Amino acid sequence: MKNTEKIFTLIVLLTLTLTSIYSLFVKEQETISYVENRTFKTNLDLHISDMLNGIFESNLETILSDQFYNRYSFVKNKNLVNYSFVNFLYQMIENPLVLNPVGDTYVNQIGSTQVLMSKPILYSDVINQRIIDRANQINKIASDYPEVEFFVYKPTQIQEKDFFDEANGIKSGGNTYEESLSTTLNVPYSSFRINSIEDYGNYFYTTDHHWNNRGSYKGYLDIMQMIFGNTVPPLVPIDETCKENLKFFGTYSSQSGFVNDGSPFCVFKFDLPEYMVYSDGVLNEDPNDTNKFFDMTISEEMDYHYNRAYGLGNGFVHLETANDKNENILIIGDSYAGPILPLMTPQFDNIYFVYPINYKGIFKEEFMYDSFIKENNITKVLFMYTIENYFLSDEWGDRYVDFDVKRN
Amino acid sequence: MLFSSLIFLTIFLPSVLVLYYCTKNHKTRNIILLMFSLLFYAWGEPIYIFLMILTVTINFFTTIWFDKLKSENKNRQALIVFILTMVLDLGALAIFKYSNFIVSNLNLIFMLNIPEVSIRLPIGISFYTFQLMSYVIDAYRKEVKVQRKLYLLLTYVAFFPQLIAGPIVRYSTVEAEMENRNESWELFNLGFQRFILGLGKKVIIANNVAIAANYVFSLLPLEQVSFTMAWLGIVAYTLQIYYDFSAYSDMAIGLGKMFGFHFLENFNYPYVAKSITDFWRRWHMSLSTWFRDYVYISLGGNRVSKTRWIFNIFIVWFLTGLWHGASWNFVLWGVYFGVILILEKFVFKRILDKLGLFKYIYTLILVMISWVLFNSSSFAQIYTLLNKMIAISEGISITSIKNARLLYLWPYFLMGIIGATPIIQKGLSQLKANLIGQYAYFAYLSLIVYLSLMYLISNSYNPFIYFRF
Repeated sequence: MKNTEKIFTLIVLLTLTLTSIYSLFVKEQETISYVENRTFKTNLDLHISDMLNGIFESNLETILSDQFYNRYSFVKNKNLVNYSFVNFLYQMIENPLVLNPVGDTYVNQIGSTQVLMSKPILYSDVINQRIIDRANQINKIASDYPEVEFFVYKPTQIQEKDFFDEANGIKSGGNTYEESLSTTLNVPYSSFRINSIEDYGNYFYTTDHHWNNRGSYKGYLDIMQMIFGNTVPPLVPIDETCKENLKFFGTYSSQSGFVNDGSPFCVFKFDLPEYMVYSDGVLNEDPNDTNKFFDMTISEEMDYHYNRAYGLGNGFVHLETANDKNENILIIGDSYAGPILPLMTPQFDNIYFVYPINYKGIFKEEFMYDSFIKENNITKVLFMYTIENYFLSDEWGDRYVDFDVKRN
Repeated sequence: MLFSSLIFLTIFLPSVLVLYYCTKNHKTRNIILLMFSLLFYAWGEPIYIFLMILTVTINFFTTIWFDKLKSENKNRQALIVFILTMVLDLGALAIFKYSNFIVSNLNLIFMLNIPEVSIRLPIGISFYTFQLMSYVIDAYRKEVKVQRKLYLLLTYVAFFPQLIAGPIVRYSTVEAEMENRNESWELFNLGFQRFILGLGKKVIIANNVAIAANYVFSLLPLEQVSFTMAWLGIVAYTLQIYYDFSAYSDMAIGLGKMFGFHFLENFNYPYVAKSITDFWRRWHMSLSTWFRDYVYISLGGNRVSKTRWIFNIFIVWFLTGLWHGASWNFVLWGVYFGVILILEKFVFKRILDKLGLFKYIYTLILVMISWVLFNSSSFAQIYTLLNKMIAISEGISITSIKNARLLYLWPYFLMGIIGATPIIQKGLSQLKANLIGQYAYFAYLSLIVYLSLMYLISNSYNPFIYFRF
């Protein structure tokens, strides 16, 4: 047995040492963790000059942790362990509206179902005031450009709804925020209606915060109704394609360690006019560009299918059609806008889309509304982003400030 | 540097082991241990390492000096040098640990406006000062030989397994092993296995229950503390401080064995104690015996009048509290135990013997109350938590634990509670009695290593409570 003890000791010590040497000096350094939604530290971050102030030491520990061989399986297993512990208790809870935290993450499981969601948005005066302030910014610019039509559409998220208040002893703020927004705005306003948990299940992915193809199509119908009333018939899907054998695991999955099953990934096909796409000022010359917003070339190993399929990593997208309607629309939005943009091509000569956070990151400057509206003969402006971008300030910075209506 | 860090586990420890065991004689091995110990300390304290070296050097020379004076029968002068050494050691501790505490209290009492000094607490200063003092006092009492090699005294004080958070290893414990010890595979393996068990206690249990303790003590506003949350936080902290500190001691003792040293035990299942007196025989034994031998007995112990005896106990516990930190809540914590110990000695002793199972509950509840005093940041927090602990009418609310996103921690509490009793240890001893059981034991140790890595790589919460002392 003494030999077994020796062997055990040597194996453990050697494994630890060799793994760290491999992770630090041999393995290709990873720079981004898509699943944890953050950047990694690499051995390029080590500087001997940092030794006296303690930064070298903390950086080395972080690098070892970030670059450790097979890191993600450790992270995933930790989440799975914590989820298994808590799910054991959830099996005993019968109320389907009880929100069950998944491990130590911000993600909740609805009852003991397979549906995941973020934390409910609770009421706060600060949030309410930020929403009113944004509405007033929109009112101001709308009054400064009477010849331009302004619209606001809000893709509603489940965490705004009050479905879970009673079962969880909380007071959500979504209804109050919606009322503050709609009553403060002086321009046409509409929002995505989620009437029940079943509605949510139909229109959203079970493990992601985004709407699925049915949800985004419903959003498109809402927007068409708001802008054109019954005067323009909306597009009707000619086909629905689902990627075979592919499960879509969204951000709630990656954050919580893939504890639940993914959803099918489907897109609608539409009969669209031809259009050119400029992403961040660069013409996409691929002949399939016109279809890039409904791209089904995704495969299992790709990191995030929603963004892949709807092509949204940009700050500024321009869809140029061959129409001659003297109608140009500027859409200020977030990742919910991706599936909507091409559906606007039958009605507009140019569709301009600005994602303020990405715009600032890519162009290193703020998007200025006045000059853009004047220079591009904009006739309609649509604000369509989720409630979080009206107020959220998190580890990524003051997101709500990025979405402010910047004037020049 | 933390034992429970990837740098220590995967770079530091293997490096020091390889270099240590590549050399043959103890002189070289001690120099290697010294170099790595200084690096270990400098990793977190690149400046204060010089303070430690200076303190050891002064003590080294003054000890030789008073030893020489004693051998020349100049006892009065020897006593003066000895007292001066003590004053220097305690003075350094007072300056670096207590100066702001003294200043703020002087300001409060005499309505002064003395500015606070900007001094950062050197890591482990309380531990290494007490170790050094044990050497000087024992040398003065002629209970140990005066060390004539500076590097050996420095190695004793700076030896990385016990440098930062104990146990307080007395010079007399390792005196012989400093120059002549028997390293063996058997001892090494025992030490390594003890280290793994300590690592698991720290990373798997202490760090996870600490999430709940930290939530209640640091994040939850006082007005939101309920009966459930108060108990959750206090139970969590009770488990955290035990697993955190005893895990460090386990790792220290294990590492000591890996290098051929035998450190004394520091914990003996304190939460199954039958009284507070018994608790302090099982908790942080190296500190309580230090105060017993160097303060309590020096004051006369119990061989004095009853009043003086009570005074001696009170002084020891006042100092024990103060040793833990420059704050009145630590003093209150020490005095609280002093009062209970006095009551147990003079009033409760016979009653406790008749209490049966209740004496365990009595002890545990008093210990838990002590942790409220120990870990609270204000008297308002102490009042709120103690008040809420008895607000039984509020009832238990699992929903509030769930809404605080802490429900997933329940298995760590369960493991913590079971592991705080000798059940696991007995089970492991029986397991190792046969061959299959021995393999199962290695599988258990491997699982602990994997789970510890899993938590460390996932950047889990990883503080060490006793670093601040």
